Amino acid sequence: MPRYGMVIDLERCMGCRACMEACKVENNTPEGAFWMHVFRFEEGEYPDTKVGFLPRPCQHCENAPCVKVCPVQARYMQDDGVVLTDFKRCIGCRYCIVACPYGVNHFNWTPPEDAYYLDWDDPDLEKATGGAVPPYDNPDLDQPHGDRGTLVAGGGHYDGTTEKCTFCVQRLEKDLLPACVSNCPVDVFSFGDLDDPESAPSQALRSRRAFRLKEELNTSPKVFYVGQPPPSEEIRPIDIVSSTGGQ
Amino acid sequence: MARFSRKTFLVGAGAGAGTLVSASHLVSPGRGAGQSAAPAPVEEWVPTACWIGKQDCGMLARRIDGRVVKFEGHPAHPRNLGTLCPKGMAQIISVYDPNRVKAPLVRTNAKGQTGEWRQVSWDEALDRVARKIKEVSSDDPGLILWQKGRSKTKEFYDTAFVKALGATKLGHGAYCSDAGYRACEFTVGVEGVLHPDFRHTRYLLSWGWNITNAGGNKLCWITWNRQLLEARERGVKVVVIDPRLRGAGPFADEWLPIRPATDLALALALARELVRQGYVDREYLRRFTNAPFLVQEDGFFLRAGDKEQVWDTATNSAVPFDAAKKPALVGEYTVGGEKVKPAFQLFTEHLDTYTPDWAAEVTGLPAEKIRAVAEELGRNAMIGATIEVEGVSLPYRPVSAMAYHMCQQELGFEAIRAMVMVFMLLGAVGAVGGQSIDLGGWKVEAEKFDKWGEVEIGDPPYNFYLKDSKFFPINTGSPSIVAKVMEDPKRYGVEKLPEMVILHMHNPLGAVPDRKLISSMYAKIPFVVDINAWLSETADYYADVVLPAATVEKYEGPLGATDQYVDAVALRVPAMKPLFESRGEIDIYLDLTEKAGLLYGEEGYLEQINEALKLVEVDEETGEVTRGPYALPLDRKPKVRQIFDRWAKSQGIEGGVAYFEKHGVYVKGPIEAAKYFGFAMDPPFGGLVHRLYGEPLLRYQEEMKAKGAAEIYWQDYTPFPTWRVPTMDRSPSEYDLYLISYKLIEHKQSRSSFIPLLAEIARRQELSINPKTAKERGIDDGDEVWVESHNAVTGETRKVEVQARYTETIRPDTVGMAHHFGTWTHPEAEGQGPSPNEIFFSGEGYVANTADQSFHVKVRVFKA
Amino acid sequence: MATSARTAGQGLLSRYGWTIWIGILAVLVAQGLYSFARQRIDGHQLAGLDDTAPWGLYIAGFVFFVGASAGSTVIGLTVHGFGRKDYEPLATRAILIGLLSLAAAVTFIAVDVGRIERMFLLPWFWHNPTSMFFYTSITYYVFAAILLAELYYTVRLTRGSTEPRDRWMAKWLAIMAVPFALVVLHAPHGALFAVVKAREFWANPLLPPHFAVVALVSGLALVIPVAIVTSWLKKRELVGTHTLAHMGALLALLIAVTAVLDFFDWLVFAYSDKAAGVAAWDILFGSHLVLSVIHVGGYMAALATLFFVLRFRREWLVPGLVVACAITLLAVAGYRYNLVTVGQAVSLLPVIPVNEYWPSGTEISIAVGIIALTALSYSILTKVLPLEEDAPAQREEPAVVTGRLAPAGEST
Repeated sequence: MPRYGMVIDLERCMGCRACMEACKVENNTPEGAFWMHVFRFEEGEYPDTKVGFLPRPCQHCENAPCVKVCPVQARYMQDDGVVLTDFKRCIGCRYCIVACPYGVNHFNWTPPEDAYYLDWDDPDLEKATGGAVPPYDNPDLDQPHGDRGTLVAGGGHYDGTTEKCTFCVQRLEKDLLPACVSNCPVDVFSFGDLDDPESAPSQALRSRRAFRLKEELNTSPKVFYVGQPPPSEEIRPIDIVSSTGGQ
Repeated sequence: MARFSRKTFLVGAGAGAGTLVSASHLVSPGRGAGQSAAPAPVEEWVPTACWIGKQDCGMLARRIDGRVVKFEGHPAHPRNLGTLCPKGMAQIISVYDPNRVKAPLVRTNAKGQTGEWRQVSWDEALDRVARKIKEVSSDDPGLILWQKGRSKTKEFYDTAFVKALGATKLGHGAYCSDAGYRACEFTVGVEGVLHPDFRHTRYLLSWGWNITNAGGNKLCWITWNRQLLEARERGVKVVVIDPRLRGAGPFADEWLPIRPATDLALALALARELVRQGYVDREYLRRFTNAPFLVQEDGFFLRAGDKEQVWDTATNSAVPFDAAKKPALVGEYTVGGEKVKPAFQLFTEHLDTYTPDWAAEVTGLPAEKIRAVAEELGRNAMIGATIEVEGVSLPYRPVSAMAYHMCQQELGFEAIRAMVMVFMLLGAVGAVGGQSIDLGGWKVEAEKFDKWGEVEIGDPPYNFYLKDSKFFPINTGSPSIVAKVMEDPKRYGVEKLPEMVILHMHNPLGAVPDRKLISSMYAKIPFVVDINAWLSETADYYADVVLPAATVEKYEGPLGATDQYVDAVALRVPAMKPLFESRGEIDIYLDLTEKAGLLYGEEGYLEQINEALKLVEVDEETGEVTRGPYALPLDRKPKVRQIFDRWAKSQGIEGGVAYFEKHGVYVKGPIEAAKYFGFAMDPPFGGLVHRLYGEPLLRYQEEMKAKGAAEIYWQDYTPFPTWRVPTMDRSPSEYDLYLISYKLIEHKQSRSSFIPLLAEIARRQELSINPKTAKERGIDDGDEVWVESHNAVTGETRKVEVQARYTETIRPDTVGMAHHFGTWTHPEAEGQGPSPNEIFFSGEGYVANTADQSFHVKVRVFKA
Repeated sequence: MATSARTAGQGLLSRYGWTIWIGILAVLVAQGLYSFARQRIDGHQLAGLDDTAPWGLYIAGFVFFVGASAGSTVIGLTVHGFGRKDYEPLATRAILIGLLSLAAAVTFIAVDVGRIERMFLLPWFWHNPTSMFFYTSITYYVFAAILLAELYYTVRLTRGSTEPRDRWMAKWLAIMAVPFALVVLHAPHGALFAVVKAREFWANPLLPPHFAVVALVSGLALVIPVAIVTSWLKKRELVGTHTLAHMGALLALLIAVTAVLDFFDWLVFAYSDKAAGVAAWDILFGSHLVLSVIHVGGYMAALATLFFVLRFRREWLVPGLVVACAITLLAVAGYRYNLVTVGQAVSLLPVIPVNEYWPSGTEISIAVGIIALTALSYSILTKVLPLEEDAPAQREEPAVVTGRLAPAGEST
C-alpha cells in the first residue's frame, strides 16, 4: 500500500500558477475555489528586495486536524494516505475549514448552476456541449472513487459541502499523477510513495534539506518543501488571488 | 386551563421538525448521486496545438463522448514536453465562451461608437469583402492593408494570401521586438534578438527578460525557463538588468535596477570596460567582422574598386580584406596620402567617453557594479578557449544574454547593436555557450543582411508606411507610423492611403500605442474587415464586417516546434468542429479569394500556397516553375485538410496529415552543431562579415540629411551606437517618473483578460509603484491614482485612472503597468482598469530610428 | 382564586398590546423565513462568510444561546439544590428559557450548515469520537430530554401534584441539569474552539471552563429581565425585591469571575510572540474596537451598575437590574462574536491574506428571525402552559385538598 506524498521544489517554482489552472480544469472547482494555491510574495526593501513563490496544495496531513474535527467522518484519510471528503456525508458545518492550519478548504457557497463564471445557458453552445456546466465538465468526477467507493472527486458539484485537494484521486486510480504535478512546466513537483525509497519524492528528500509548513503544530503534512528556507514572517503577499465564496 | 399534555407537545415538536427537514430537502439543490448504470464513456486523446499564445505548444485534447473536457500538454512536443502554462490550461473555457462572435456580422450604425450589427451568412459577408477587394485592387491592390497581430502560419497568411492579393502587409513587429531584429539582421545577418546557448553557458545577462512571465527571445514561455533551470543546476550565474525585479522572480543572483531606456549607455560602458580590461577576442574580430576595415576621415571605408581594405601587418600595406594575413585592429595609417584607421581603433576611441562613472550617472547603477559585471563577463568568456562538440573543436565562450522586448525603446536599435557588439568583443556570438539569435540554429539570412546595408532611400511619394523613405531607411513597418502619416500625409510625402484593411487576429485599439492615434487611423480607413474569434474593441468601433474565426478548433500550420536544440514541426489539428459558425482562417481565405477571383490560376492563392509550402520550386532567375508531386492543382478548391496532407507527404512524413492527427508533432531530430553554432558553419557565419562598424548607417544619415529629413529621424543613424538623452526626457520636470509596461504570465496581449479562468487569477490593472515614491505623493497601497503622460515633442498630455499597488521590486523613479487590460466588449472585462497604451505616445520621439515603437514615456502620478 | 387569577392572567396584556407584540414578532419571523428560503435557494454566498472566515454571526448566535440555555438551569438548582423557595415562581419560565434557547441554538446551527437534512442524522448514523461537534450533538438531545422531563414534572407540580415522585424527579433533574449543562453541554463548546491549534486566539485551555462561567452569566442575565418584565406586565411581582437583589448579587459575582478569566486570558495572549497573536491584538483594538468595548466595558458597566444599586440605591434595584442585564447580554454577545470572528480574522500563514468579515443583511435578517421566533414561542408557550403564579396557592400543604383555599398570599 503506497503512502502518497509530495515534494515541492521552491528553487524551480516560477509562480506561474499553471498548477492552479490545471487543478481547476481537472477538478471543475467553482469560481473562487483554488484547491492548489500559489502564493507570491516579496521581502525586503528596494534595492535589496527578494521575490518568492510558494505552491500550497492540501498537505494531506498524517495527523490531520480536519479529520479529527469532522463530526460525521465525512473527512477521512484513506489507507494510501490521501485525505478525502465524502460528499454524500458532509453536512457542511465547516469545522474542517476553521481547523485547517493551511487554509486549503473551500465551502460550496454557491449552487453549481451559478458557480461557473459565465452564463452557459446558450442554445448554440448547448449543441456543442450537450448542456454541460461548466462546458469542460469532467465526467470522471461523478463516479465513485476511493476506499469508500463513494463520491469524493471533483469540486463545485455538491453545494453546501466542503471540498479540497484530493491529490486527484480520480487520476491516481488510473495510475496518473495529480493534475498539478503532471502539468507543471518546470517540474516543481515530485509525487509518489513516501515509503518507497526509490520514488521521486523519496529521492528528492534524501538529497535535500526539507521543511514542512507549521511543523510545530504536529500535523505531520505529507507535503514537503525543498530548495528554499521557509518563508519568514516578514514577507508581504503580492498578486493576491482571493480564495473566497461570499458575495 | 389549557389541555397540554406531554404527548401533544412531543407530537407537535416532532411534526414541526419533520416538516422543516423535509421542506428544506425539497429545496436542496446539488447534483444527484453518482449514476453508474450508463455505458462506459468513449475517451479519446486528440493532438492539437495551443492557440492562445505564441509558440503553439503541443496539446492533447481529452475528448469524452465527443466533448473536449481538457487540454493537456503533448509529451512529445519539444517546447513544452507535456505541460501547459496557465493560459494554455485555461483556454478551454474560452473555446466554449458564448460571447465569441458566432456568425459573420455587418455593421449597421456609424463608426466611432459601439457597433450595432446584422448577422449575415458567410456567403453574403465574403461577397461584401470580395467586392471591396476587387474595387480597391482595380486601382492599386497595395492600398489593401493586411494587418496581422498574430499569424499562426506565415505561409498561408503573410506570404500566400498577401501575395495573391498584392496587398501591403504590416505585422506587429513594431510593438514586439523588431528593433532588435533589425539590429541583429544588420549586424550579423541573423533574424532574432538575443538568447543563450543554455546548454553550455555559465554567465547570463538577463537583460529585461521577464523570466517568470514572458518568453524571452522569440518564444512564449516554458521553453527557455526549463533550459534556464537546467543551466542553474550546472551553476549558471544570472545577472538581471531591469528597472523591475518582479519578472526575474527568485532567479536573480544579482539585480541591476537600471533606469528605463538607458540600456545603450550600459552596453557602451561594458564595451569600454572590456576593451580597457583587455577582454577582446581579436581573432574573431579579425577574421569574421569588419573591425579591421580601414575607415577614412569621412567615415567611409577605404575601398579599392569595391573591395574594402585592411592594413596587413604582415606586409605593412593596405590590402583587400579577404587577402590579408594579419590585419591590424588598432593604429593609424596613411594610404594614398589619406589618414585611415581600422574600425576597431575608431571603436576604442568612440568608447572613450563611456566610462563606468559616466554610465553610473545615466543608468543609476553603481559604477563598481558596472566594472564588476564587465570583469565577470570578460573572465567567464574564456577568450581563446575551445571545446569539442560532436567531434568538432569550436570556440568556447560561455557568456550570453537574453534580451527581447526591452529593445522596443527609442534607442532600441542602437542598444541591441551595442549589446551584440559586447558579445562580438568577447567572440561569443555563435560560439559554444555564447550568444544565439535565431531559433534552431545560426540561420544566416544573407538577403536581409544585404538588404539593410543597401537601402535605396527614395524620393516622395512614399508608401503609407514610409518604406525606403528619408524618415526610416531601415523600417520595421509600424501601424502607428501609418496613423501619423494618415494624420498629415503631405508632411510625409505620401499620396496614397489605405482604402481597406483586413485585420488578422489583431486588435489595434487594445494592443497598440497610442490608442487615440490608432483610433483616428481606423476611423479614416473606408473599409475595415476583422477576422477574429472575438469582437475586438477595434471591430466594435470601426469594423464594417466581422468574420468569426475559430480558435483552436481548425487546421493550421506548419507550426515550427523547435526548442533551439531539437528540430520539429507540428500542425494544429481540430479536436472538435469549429464552434458556432466560426471557421478556420485558411478556409476563410480560400473562399474569399475564390469570390475575389484570386484563387485559381498561376497568380492565384493556390499557387502562392504551393510556393510558400515549397510544393513547387521557382527558379529565381528564370522564373521557371517545377511542380512537385504534391503540388495543389490550380483549378479546384481543396479542403484545408487536403492541403496539409499534401504538404506533409512532400516533407516525407509517412501517412501525411494522418500522422499529425495521430501524433501531433513530428520530431526531426537534434540540430547538429554544424547548424547550431555560427562558428561551425562552412564557411563560418555563412561567409558574412559582421558589421561592427555600421557604415551603411552613416550613408543613410548623410542621404537623409541631404533629402531634408529632420534631425529626429537621422540622429541615430550612426556607424557606432552613440548615446544621447532620450527625447522623452525633455518633458517638463513635473513629469518625473518613467512609465514602463510588461507582461503577466496569466494573460496574452489583449485577447485574454476577459477569459474568466484567467481574469480570476489576474483580475485587474494595477500601477506598480515604489512605496517611497507613493508615500511622497500621499498615495496609499490600493489608492486610485491618475497617471498622466507628456509628449515632449508635441506637448500633448494623456491620463488614465488606475489602482496603485506598492512593490519594493521597482525603481523609485519608475512606475509600471501590465499591457493586457483596458478592453470593454466582453462582459468579463468590465472594471478591469485601463491599458498603458492609452497614455503611451507614438511617432517622433516615441519610436526608434527603425520606426519601432517605444514603450516608455514620462509621467506624473497623483492621487485621484 | 386560581381560576379568576387565570382569567385575570388572560389580560396579561390588553388584547391590543398582545396582538401588536405577536404581530411584530410574526413579521420578524416572516422576514427571517424569507431570508432563510433565499439562502436555501441561492446558497450560503448570501452570507458575508467566505473560505477564510467561514464562521460568523450564526455560530456566534449558536454558542450564545447554548450558553444561555445552560445558564438558565441555575434557577432550578437554586430552587431545588439550595432550597430557595423564593425563586420558585421562576422555575417553569427558566426551563422554558432553557428549552427555547437550546432550540434557538440548534436553529442557528441549522441555518449555518450546508446540509440541514444530514445534520439531523448526526449522531445517530455517523459519528467521530475525536470531534467535539459530535459530542455536543449528542448532548443537545440528552439536555433537551432532561429539560423536557424537568418541565413535565415542574408542570405537574404547578398543577398541584403532591406525589412525592414528581417532587423527587423535579428536584434531582433540576440539580443534575446544572453540572450537565455546564460541564457536559457547554464546556465542550469551549473545547470545540480550544482544540483548534491552527487558531492561536482559540487554542487556550481556559476556554471550556470560561464558557461554563459565561453560560451562567448569560443564562442568569436572561432570566432576571424576563422575570422583571413579566412582573411588570402582569402587574404583580413574581418574586420579591429580596430575591431580585439576591439574583443581582449572584450575577455580579459571576460577571466578576468571567471578567477575571477574560483578563488573564487576554493578559497571557498579549505576551504572544507570534505574528498571529500580534495580529489578533491589532484586530481587537482596531476594526473590532467597538465590540471589544461592548464586551469588556459592558462587564465593567454591568458590575458598576449592580454594585451601585445593590449597595447604594436599593430603590433603583429593578430598573438597575434591567439595565445591567441588558448590558451583560450585549457584553456576552460581544464576547461570543469577537471570539468567533477574531479567531478567524488572523491570517494562517504570512502568505495568506484575510478578508474582513462583517455579517451580511441575510445573516442579520435570519438571526433576528430566530431570536424573534424564540420570543414568539416563549410568549405563546407561557400563555398556554400552566405557570407558577397560576398554581393552587398551597403547594407545600399535603396533597389532600379541602374545600377551603388559602387566600392568595405573598411568598416568603
